[in-house]
Amino acid sequence: MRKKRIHIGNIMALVVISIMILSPFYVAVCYAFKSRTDFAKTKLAFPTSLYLKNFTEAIAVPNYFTAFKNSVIVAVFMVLIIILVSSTGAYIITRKNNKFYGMFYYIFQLVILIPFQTLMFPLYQELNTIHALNTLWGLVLAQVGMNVGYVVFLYAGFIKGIPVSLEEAARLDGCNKYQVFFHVVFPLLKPINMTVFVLSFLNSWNDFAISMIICQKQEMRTIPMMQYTFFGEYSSNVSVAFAGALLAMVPTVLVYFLAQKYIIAGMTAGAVKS
Amino acid sequence: MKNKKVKIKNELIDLSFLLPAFLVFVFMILIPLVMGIRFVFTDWDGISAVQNFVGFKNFNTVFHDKDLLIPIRNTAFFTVVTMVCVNAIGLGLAMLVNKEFKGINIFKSIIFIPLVISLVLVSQMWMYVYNDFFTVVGLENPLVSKKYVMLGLCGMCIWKESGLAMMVYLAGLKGIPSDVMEAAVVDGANAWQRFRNVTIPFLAPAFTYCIPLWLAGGLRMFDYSTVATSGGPGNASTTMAYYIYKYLFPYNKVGYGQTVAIIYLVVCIIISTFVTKKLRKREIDL
Repeated sequence: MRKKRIHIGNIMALVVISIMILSPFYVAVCYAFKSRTDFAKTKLAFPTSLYLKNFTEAIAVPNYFTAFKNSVIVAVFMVLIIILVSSTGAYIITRKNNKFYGMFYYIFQLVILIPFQTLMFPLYQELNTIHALNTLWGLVLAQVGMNVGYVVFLYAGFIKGIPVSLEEAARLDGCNKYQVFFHVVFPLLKPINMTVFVLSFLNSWNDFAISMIICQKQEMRTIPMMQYTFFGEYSSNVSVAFAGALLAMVPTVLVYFLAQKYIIAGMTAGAVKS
Repeated sequence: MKNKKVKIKNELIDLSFLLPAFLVFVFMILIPLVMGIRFVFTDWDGISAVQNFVGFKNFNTVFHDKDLLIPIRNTAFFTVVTMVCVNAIGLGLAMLVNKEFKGINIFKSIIFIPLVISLVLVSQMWMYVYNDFFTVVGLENPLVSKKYVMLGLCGMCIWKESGLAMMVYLAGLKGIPSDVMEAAVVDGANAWQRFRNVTIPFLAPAFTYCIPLWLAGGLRMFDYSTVATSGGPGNASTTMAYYIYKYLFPYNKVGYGQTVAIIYLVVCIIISTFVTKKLRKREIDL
């Protein structure tokens, strides 16, 4: 009897908290479904009818589709490159486990501590000289650079827990080192690969500070950067801006519900003592 | 002789695994870092071909710059407030959801959602929450008030990130062996004593993870200030990161801006490593 009452208290508290968490989304959804006149008159009142024209208008905004496409390209390549680069690097660092490779483990840990603002301007200059400013590949590489420290750290933590015996057996069977890694080790990394995949996807898709510096040109902008200017230009028509924002949120929400487990695993990885 | 050749070949193959990550590190981190250190000793504006060597003049300017006190104060305020609130609320939420009943996962999912939304969208949603909701219920919009603007930005961050702290602390709470807790109950420890003497020590690794995480995050705060307030009103919400951005790009004062950026880097690393070391030491003592 007593136990049940405690749960009811918890549930009531959680309902209140959930409403607080969801209410800002209500603002976005509410405005996105209101026509301009409705919005001016009723503001935050519950929408009485679903006005869908905001969404078509948002898609029709020049560069909306381009920004969406840019974001997809950058996120896909960023994720593929960071998985390849960090898994191989972390693998050899943990397996060799000597002074030379151990040094790189510390270097990558130190990289996590560097604030982007310190590298921002020189990176801009460097990419400018190699003609990578306002290119998607320049942005991909910069994002990989800013995330590589944490991802190597994640991989190294996971690989430490994989027994070496399988690799030794594969070596005896005549596999070379590359075959051992790609055919034996890499499949074993599946859980951490998934975690890195969703975390890096979200980091890339939501990145604002890096793309703001590197892809300023309108046709090269990704979604957060476009949204930033969008709200400025459409401040008289907030509904269209929020409709566009909601559409841009769809991929993140999809990833969230499909891969919640992996997101939580990745974000809390450092906290569980190994 | 042949043996040696095989050995070298083996070492080269091993190195080739590290090479991609190493190249990324060199081109995206190391070269910009070194280039940045060079700018510190010039008066470059970022555009012209002339870069005059000025020695340590920029450091002299930085240490006598009273304008710098505002972003330092704002960053310190944001860091302390969000670090304390996110961790306290996260721990509270974790204890609230650390129960087994139907539907608990729905609550956990809802509380975690804001974490996957971009900072840009979070800032924009909250701009309208503050502007259209707060004013309707008779509160002031904090973002237009010099006094409360940083508090308004802290609110956004706490709303967005408490869910992550909850998940970390929840993982810690799940790791407390049930017999230890039961023993404490049998010994007659009250709720507060159990929390103080059983829960907190077992959560030490979670604290060691969370506190430096939000410390570093707070020190780097950039997006909220840029999107929600552009550092304003006036410069009441200019943080260190936004201040550096302003001097490097719109103001074209690369020598000065990069000097601030390098000092900022050193301070961030010192604070982060110092706090992490202290927490690790405490963890062992417990």
